[in-house]
Order: sequence, then C-alpha cells, then structure tokens
Amino acid sequence: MLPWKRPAGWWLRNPRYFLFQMREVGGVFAALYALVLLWQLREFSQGELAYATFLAFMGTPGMFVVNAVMFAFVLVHAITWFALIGKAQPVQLTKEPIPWQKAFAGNLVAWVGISVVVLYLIFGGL
Amino acid sequence: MAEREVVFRVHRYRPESDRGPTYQDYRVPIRDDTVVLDALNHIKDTLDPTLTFRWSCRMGICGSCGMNVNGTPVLTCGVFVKDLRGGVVTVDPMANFPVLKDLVVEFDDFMRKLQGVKPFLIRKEDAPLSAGEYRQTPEQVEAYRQQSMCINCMLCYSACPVYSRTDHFLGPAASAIAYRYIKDSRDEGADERLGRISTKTGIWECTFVGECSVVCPKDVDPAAAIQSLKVLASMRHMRRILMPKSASR
Ligand code: SF4
Ligand code: FES
Repeated sequence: MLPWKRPAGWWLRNPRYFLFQMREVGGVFAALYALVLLWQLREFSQGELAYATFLAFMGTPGMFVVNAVMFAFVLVHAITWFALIGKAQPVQLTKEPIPWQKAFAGNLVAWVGISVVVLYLIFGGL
Repeated sequence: MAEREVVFRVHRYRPESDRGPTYQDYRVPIRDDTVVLDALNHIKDTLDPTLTFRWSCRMGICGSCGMNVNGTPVLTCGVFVKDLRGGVVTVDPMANFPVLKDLVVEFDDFMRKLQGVKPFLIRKEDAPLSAGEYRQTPEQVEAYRQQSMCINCMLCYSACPVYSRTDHFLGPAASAIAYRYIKDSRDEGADERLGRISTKTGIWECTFVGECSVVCPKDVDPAAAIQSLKVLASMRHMRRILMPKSASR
C-alpha cells in the first residue's frame, strides 16, 4: 500500500486553497494589529510626550507600509469570513436558509454602517 | 461524430513490483460524448488490461469512480473529456487516501468514521411494526433532504486540506451524514451524535476551507452542514450548562 503524503506547496495548486491560507494568515495580522492598538493605549497613558513619540514613529514610511499590509490582511480576513457566514445556518433559525449572497451583503452593509458610526464618533467633531 | 486522440497520463502503482508510483501515457480516441471513465475503460479493454480502477453504475450514483482528474477530485463517469483543458489528461487516485493499486484507494478509515456517526435512525423505543411506518410531512423531509443525497464517493475527503494533514479528522461526508440524521424528525439520537462529534478531532477540527462543498457532485454542501453542527453543538453545550436537568435536544 502506498501511504498518502501531502505535497509541499499544496495551497498554491488551487486558488481557493490559496484564499483560505490568506484568510488564516490574516488572522495572525489581525492579532498583531490588536497588539499595536494595545501598545498605542499604553503610550497614551504615559503622557503627552510618549504619545507624540509613538505617533511620530507610526508616521514613518516603514511603519506606514507595515500598517498598510496589516490592514490589507485584516480586510481579506473579514471579507472572506463574511462570504462564509451564510453557510452556518442550522435550518431552524429561519424557515428557508438565507442565500449566502444575502448574508454576505448584509454583513458588509452592517460592517460599513458600524465603521461609519465609529469614524463619525472619532472625527465627527472636527 | 469527429474523433481525435487525447493523451491520458495515468498514475500506476503495482504494489508487488513497483517501489513507487509512476505515470504511464496512453493515446485514446475521443468523441464529444466520451467521459473520462470511458477513456479508462478503453485503455483497459484494448491497450492495457492490467490498469486497475473502480467503477460500477456509470451514472453518478454508485460513487465508486472518484479520481483526481487534472488535480481535481471528480466522478470520472461525469466528466466529458472535451470539457477538460490542456493537451494531456492526468488521472490520479483520489488524494488523501493510501493507494492499493493504480487508481484504487483504501478507504477503511472513511467507513470507520461513517459507522462512528451511527448513520441510521436511533429511537429510544421502537414503535411496533403493526403501528406502520413513521410519518413525515414534506417540510420534515426537506429539513434533511440535501444531506441525504450523499453517495459516499469521498471526493470531499480528497479535497479537504485538513483531512490531508490530520487523518484523525472526522471529515466532511461523515459530518454531513450525522447532520442528516440529527435533522430527521424520526430520529432521537441528536444528543448522542452531537456529543460524539463535538470534539477536537470531530467538527471542531474543521477550519472551514469549503472545498468539500465545491467538489461534491451531489450538492450535499458538507461545509455548511459542519458549520451548522458547530452551532447546534454550542447550543447543546450552553443548554447543558444552564439547564443541567433537561438533557436531550
Ligand atoms: S458529501 Fe458529497 S463529495 Fe462527500 S461523499 Fe457525500 S456525495 Fe461525495
Ligand atoms: S461509476 Fe458510479 S458514480 Fe461513476
């Protein structure tokens, strides 16, 4: 009998496997970004000078690229999960299962809506 | 009907003589209505009787002709050669299973898992035969009809990267079939089955790649079934914490 061996690079052989890997990696980047936020809070609590130093550091080109990459992966992570959400429906929640496109669109709309509210709360006063 | 020749690159493995797998090329005459299984049968009947593969119904219902064609798990009786892209058609045994010979895989592991989810009606007490059959409304049938279409072809296992890495994973079809019985109004084994499959090697091993549902020839959507099982298992868990007295669903 010939035992099964998974080939290296299996996730490059199929675009859906690739997207799945990106979604999983996106989770790591989301966690990293949470750490950045915690760090920001800490510097904020350390007083004005510490916070100004933090902001200056975040404004350097290198950190801008790091943030952009993290943001891109967080977007991939969120959107690929929204696309899957419609699948997790034990039928008794609604009479007919909601088609995944509707669940996807609904989540996107809710997400954009909440983001707008958050942005308004933060920048609305300016 | 126009005929042309297509090269089939077929996975060979003869356990008595071969150290490892090899590929063998065959030139097969193809018409518009030739499916991959026809081409394999042509090879076996006229070119090389030693080629070994499984098939039976030739109509997508027995589930025994699954193979990886150009890297994708398919029922070979349902794929027209004219629809395949590229000059050469590569035929491999289904991925993620040990190979017995050529294109034949060993699937005892799947059969064990299938038995493990108790794929039959569980009743606390069987009604006497004289009471007749258990009746269901069309809506009650609809609740599990989709998952009941599974033909145990195992294409979903062949497509699953989680099963590929950790073969202790219960896997897509066995989960979908567990869901099928849990959703059946005649069945009373939901609690028992959920308890059995709500484990790290059961449904929680699934990371929701979703490829099982893409390759499934019967639209069973095992990925959806597993996610729904996760919700049901979580609800069962919460109910056990909040209301320890009332077990069952
Ligand atoms: S769920 Fe679909 S792919 Fe998997 S064994 Fe059943 S019919 Fe085949
Ligand atoms: S031969 Fe039966 S499903 Fe293909």
